[in-house]
Amino acid sequence: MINSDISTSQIRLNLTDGLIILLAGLSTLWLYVTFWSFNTEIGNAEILVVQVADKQAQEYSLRKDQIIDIKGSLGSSLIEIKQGKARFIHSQCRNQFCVFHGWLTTAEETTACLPNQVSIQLKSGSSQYDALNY
Amino acid sequence: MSLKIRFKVIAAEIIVKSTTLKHHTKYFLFLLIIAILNGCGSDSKDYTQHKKQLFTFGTLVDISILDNNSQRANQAIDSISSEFDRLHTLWHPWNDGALGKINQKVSTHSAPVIPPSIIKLIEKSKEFSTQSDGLFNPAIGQLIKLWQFDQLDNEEHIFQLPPTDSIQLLLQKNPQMSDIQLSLNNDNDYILHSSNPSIALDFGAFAKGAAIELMMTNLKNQKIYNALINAGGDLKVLGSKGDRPWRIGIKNPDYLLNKSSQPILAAVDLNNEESLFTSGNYERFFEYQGHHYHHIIDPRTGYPTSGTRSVTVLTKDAGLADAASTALFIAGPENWPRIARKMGIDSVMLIDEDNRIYLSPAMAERIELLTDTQPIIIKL
Repeated sequence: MINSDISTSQIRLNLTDGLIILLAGLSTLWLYVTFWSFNTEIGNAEILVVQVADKQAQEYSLRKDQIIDIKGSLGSSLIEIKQGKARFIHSQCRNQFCVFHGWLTTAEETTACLPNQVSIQLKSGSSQYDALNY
Repeated sequence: MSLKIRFKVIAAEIIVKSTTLKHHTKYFLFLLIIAILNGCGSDSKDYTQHKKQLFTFGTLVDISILDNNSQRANQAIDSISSEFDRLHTLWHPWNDGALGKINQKVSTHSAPVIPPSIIKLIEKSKEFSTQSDGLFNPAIGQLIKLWQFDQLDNEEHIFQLPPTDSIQLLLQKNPQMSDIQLSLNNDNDYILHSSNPSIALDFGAFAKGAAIELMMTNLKNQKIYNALINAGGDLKVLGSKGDRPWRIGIKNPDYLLNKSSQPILAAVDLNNEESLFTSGNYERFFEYQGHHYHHIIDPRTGYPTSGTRSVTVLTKDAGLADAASTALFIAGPENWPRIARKMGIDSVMLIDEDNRIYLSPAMAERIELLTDTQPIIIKL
């Protein structure tokens, strides 16, 4: 219910108030976009996390296309980053299951060359899922 | 203080201290910002997440622990890591660990002593085997070995099809969990008696679930109450992810072969102590002369099961979830409801080879399908 005690002159905003409201609205929109709304869609991962055995994991931006040569327990694993996706293109294993897996496109998606002890996993700032079941 | 709360406090301070704004404008702005910030997602960050990925148990294990005590969380992760390694050695059917030695002795008619962790595996397996009409059958280790699925991680091995007569011979010998009996000897140790020398125990369809169940008990003993353990895509959760349940995406089995298909088939929120396990024909396999031979062997035919692409089971006990997902996969589109009833499972999703999706009513209530395919609801 509208408070009838507030007169028209009391609710009239001056130019400064209007600008502040506009700025507040834009700031809030910026906060929302920056901290909560980005990368919640499937396939919109940001980072590739590469783990080799029990060493410290390394992170690579998915925004930069490149081929990374990772040294695993048996030798080299080549990982390609292209257009926000990542995949093994070669690994030091005979079965090549990791290569067969193809592109990782979704945040939390992971694959590994177990013989070479190299895993790759996509991450995003605010992934929709805490884990994938398969 | 969480990021979101911090923003609210800063916004409130700026507005309240502003001298250029009128009272009602301040009030309006304050409410606007609080309302928008409240609407921005629901993922509270009032916790510290500790994550670790391990190469253990023949797979990749991801551990996530939510706890503000970093020392406690890291100690818990270390203890889980060593325990997975220990169990992998102990439960490996063909190495020199405890189970490997048991299998060697059974094949030579000896009566081996059984360590406590394997007694539990045997007892539970006997129960699940009976409930599943023998579709879950860890006694067929020799058949699994004949198909060389013990060699999947062996870089030197060249796969070939097992001889048909060898498969038939093993089927005739009919190894079953009911052929195994446990008894106490004079030293109060359990020993295993087998009336069937063709038995070899391979807990590949149960060990991962049993191990995860033990790890979760281990975590609770260390006062960790919010965690997720994901072992090669099969997982169990404790507690919640902050102020919401753990949210899990179920991968589309079609996606591996057809990258233009949708990567995630469904989503499900898991509550405290729930497990989600999937058995699929895309997991462990070898290619021979252009054909795909997967690791889920039908103990009735001796060959990889046909008719099913994947089975997902949601239940509390991770060991049961693991065993049931295999048994229901083998039961196939026709028989899974009967076996699910017998095993006490009420939340199941089965996808057949034609990509039809079958759901039990309980699973239909829990799962959010992200595909246009209409599921077939089957009453249990």
